[in-house]
Parts: sequence; structure tokens; C-alpha cells
Amino acid sequence: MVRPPYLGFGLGLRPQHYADILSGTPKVDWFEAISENYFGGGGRPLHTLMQIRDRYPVVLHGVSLSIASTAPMDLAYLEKLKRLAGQVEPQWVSDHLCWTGVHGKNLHDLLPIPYTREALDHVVERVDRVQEFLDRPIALENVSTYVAFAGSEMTEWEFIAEMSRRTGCWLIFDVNNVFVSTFNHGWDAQAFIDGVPADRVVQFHLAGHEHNLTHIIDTHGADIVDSVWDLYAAAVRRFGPVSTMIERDDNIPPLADVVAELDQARAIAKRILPEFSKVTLRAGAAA
Amino acid sequence: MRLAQMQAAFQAAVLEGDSAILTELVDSPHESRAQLLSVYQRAYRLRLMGVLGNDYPLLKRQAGDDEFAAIAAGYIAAHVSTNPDVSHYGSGLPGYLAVTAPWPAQPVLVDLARLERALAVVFAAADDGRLQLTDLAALAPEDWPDLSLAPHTTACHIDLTSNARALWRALSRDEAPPAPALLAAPETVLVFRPELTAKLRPMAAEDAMMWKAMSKGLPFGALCEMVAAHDGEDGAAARAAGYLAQWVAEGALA
Repeated sequence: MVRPPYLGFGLGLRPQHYADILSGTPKVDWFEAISENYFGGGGRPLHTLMQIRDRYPVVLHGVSLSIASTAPMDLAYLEKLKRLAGQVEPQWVSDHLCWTGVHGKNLHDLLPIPYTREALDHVVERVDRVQEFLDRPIALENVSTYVAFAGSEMTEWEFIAEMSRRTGCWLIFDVNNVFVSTFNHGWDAQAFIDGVPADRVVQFHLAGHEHNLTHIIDTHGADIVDSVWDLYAAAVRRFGPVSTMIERDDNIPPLADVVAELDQARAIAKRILPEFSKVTLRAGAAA
Repeated sequence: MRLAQMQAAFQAAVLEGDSAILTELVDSPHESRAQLLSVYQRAYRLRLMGVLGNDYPLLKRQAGDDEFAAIAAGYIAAHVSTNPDVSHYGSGLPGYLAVTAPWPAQPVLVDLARLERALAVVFAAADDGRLQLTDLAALAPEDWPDLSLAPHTTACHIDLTSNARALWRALSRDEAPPAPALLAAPETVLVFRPELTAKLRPMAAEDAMMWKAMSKGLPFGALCEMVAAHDGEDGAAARAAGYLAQWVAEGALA
């Protein structure tokens, strides 16, 4: 299986930034678009995405695949995703290791799973089916979790590693989610990093969160905090050059502010991978 | 507990406050499992509140934050999403407002919701498959009476009883809206998106009547008969053809 290309430093594509992206040349190497935002099949959203896709590499990132749900697979959803992927020709297609609802209902949240052998077998079977249907490997992301299950039989990173080994799926390593989940559950973040297979990670996510003293909530609504930058540095040390992007979904600042935050990611990667940065880090290396 | 039972119990906890899932969860080093579970319960409602606020910005502005929060809370309590695309979640809000006290007493809010929903529906709908004048020109004369038409996915109509269109116009330009008022007679508004920007226009009575009948699948011959009955046989076919030509020019037919 051919590893997807390294894309450099990107941003989550948000409608608030469409005009600035298209009217300028922001220092962004690639964009991640939320798949479901373009399921309507036309109009300004798809038109804009296609314009951006003509200028930048784009990946599609879904929030409703519900890969771990015990509900029947939603074939209509998969058909829409496949059609969109055919139009956009993304560098890869991704979603989350979670479920969003059962019994015909959708909670529009990235819900946690117990790390059991039963859940692993279930997820593996569903990933196989999705990859076969889409005719491409998918990438799956670790989510922020607030509860842990008494019945879990392995760690989250063991679950992720085994899922990837058995299905061949790629992984998104969401640095902020690792920070949030490991704090919330009292896990060791470095053990998480060390436990994820380095050769499967094709993308890093970075984002801000809300710290409530006893627990952290993943909000994508604030700047990235220093401790998440530190964890990002640790991830770069372990995983090497991996396509990196920042997600912002609430309190969305002007594009220039997020681009400036992206420069911080560039600077960290450059510091840790000086040799690599000379040849491969795209806009960041040139700056 | 098996995975399927666990997911059903977790969902029941989020939607109905059921506590059965707690026996499957563990306390964290810093917090009780019940408090941690409540993160999901609060997030569910906050998220949908945000979705409705994004989908109905002008309704929210007209109603005010408190009243809109009451509208959204009632709707969220009564409606669970069944579509993986969250942009569909608020599709039932206009219907909900129309039948749920106290909102029917404020028809301008119901109508604003109808307008914003219609605009949202046409906003991102697929563009392909629009009927062109050349398609009609290719028809043989004998095929016209049986011609069946349908609205394109980028066009729909709504019926308004209030001056919501004037309010929408003012609110969307950040101008002071007029006072809510009932119209002397209900108006039908065509919402359509010929290219990337959605438009709306009030329809004359005959135009609206023919559009609604067309939307129900009546063939062109029957539409012409309706137009003749409505405003006289003289020139009825020409009037019907005129409406049809305008809809085609507006990209409103499939």
C-alpha cells in the first residue's frame, strides 16, 4: 500500500476563510475539508471547494462515518462520500474512531468506545467494508474522550495499533485529543505516542481546548496551549515528518491569525527535524 | 454488557438522562464518572443549539437570544437527528414553530424560519439537471399537453402570511426591520438559485397557482386549463408558456 504524500502544514477549511484563501496566497500548504459540508452536491460550498482544490492539495475529513457504531452501515452516506471523493480527488479520506448513534438516531458527537476485543473485531470488519466500498484506504483519528469503560481490555493505543495492523488503514494522530484524553483518564501521553505505529500515521491534528481543572474539553475554540505544543514536539520526534494541520471550529479568528499559529508548528518541526526541513518542509522551509 | 447494549445505554444517557450506563464507566483520577458523562449530555444540547443558531441567524436576531434559546430547547427536546448530515437537523423547525404554542401567535417568526430554511435547502443543492429552453424547443407540439415538469433541487416555494420577506430583507442587510405585521393576503415566494447566489421573489396569484400544480406533477395541458379557469381563456396558453419560460430562465425547473 502506497503511503500518502507528505503535504506540509495545512488548515481545516472553514467558510469564514473562503474569501481570504481565494483572494490571496496564504502561507498554507494544504486544506482539510469537512466531507459532510459538501454533501449537498452543488452551490457555493462545492464550487468553492473545487476552486481551492485546484490550487492546493485537499483531504476529506468526515465526522459521521460512525465506524464503531453497532447500527447497520449507512450505505447512502457512503455513496455520498464516494461521489464527493470522485469529484474532489482528495489526497486521502478520513474520519474518527468513534460512533455517532444507534437505532436510526444521530447524536452528532464523536462518542467513545470500550477498548475490547469485541469492539476491535467489530471496527475491523467495518473498516474493511468501508475501504472496499470506497476502493481506497481510509485514515482514522483518535478522538477526545471524557469517560472510560470498566470493561476495556487494552489501551486506546493498543486498540489503534491493532486496528491499523489488521485493516491497513492509516492514522491521524490528533495531538490535542491525546492530550485531552490522557489528562482526563490519567494515562501517560508518551506511552500513547510510543504505542501508535509510526509507519501508519499520515497526519497530525492540532487544536485548542477548554481546561476545567478536573477535565479538559476538546473545543477547537481557542489557541493551542504550550503543553499541546510540547506534545506535538514529542510526536514529531517519534513520527518524523507528518502532514500537520490546525483545526478551528469555534471563535474562529481571521485567517492570518490561524496562519500565524501554523508557523509555530512549522518552527517546532523545523527545530526537531533540521535536516528534513531543508529539503521537504514546503512553504515553511522557504520562509 | 455487549457493545450494542452499551451504545444503546450510552445514547439513552445522552438523550434521556438514563443512568444505566454508569455501571459500565469508571471514575477518573480527578472526577466522578457521572460528572464526566454529563459532558456528553451538555455537549449534545449545546451543539444542536449552535447548529440551529447557525442555520437560522435572522430568526435568532428577530426573536432575540432568550426567545431563540427557548425555541431551540423545545425543538431539541422534541427532535432527535436521524441524518448523518447535521445540516438537515433543523429542517423541521418551521413546522415545529407553526404548531407549537406559543410560537403560532408570532407568525413572523414562523415565516422567517420558512424563508431561512428554503434558502438553506437551495444553497448547496446539486446544480446539474436544470431544464433548458432548448429542451422545450425540441418538443413536438403534440407532446406539450402531456409534458410533466418538476422543480429543480435549487428551487422551492413557501407561503407566507406575514411581512417576513421585508423583515428578512432588512435583517440580512443589517438594517432596522419593520414591525411584524400580517399581510392583507398570504403571499407565495419562489426561492431559487440560478447560479451561486440564492434569490427570492413574490409570485403573482396565477404564477403561484400554476407553480404549485406543476410541483404536484400536473401535466402542462392541465396547467393551461387551470390558468384559463383562473383568469380567462383568452391568451391562457400564452400566459402559461410565459410562466414556464420565466421558471426556465430562473433555472428553477428540472
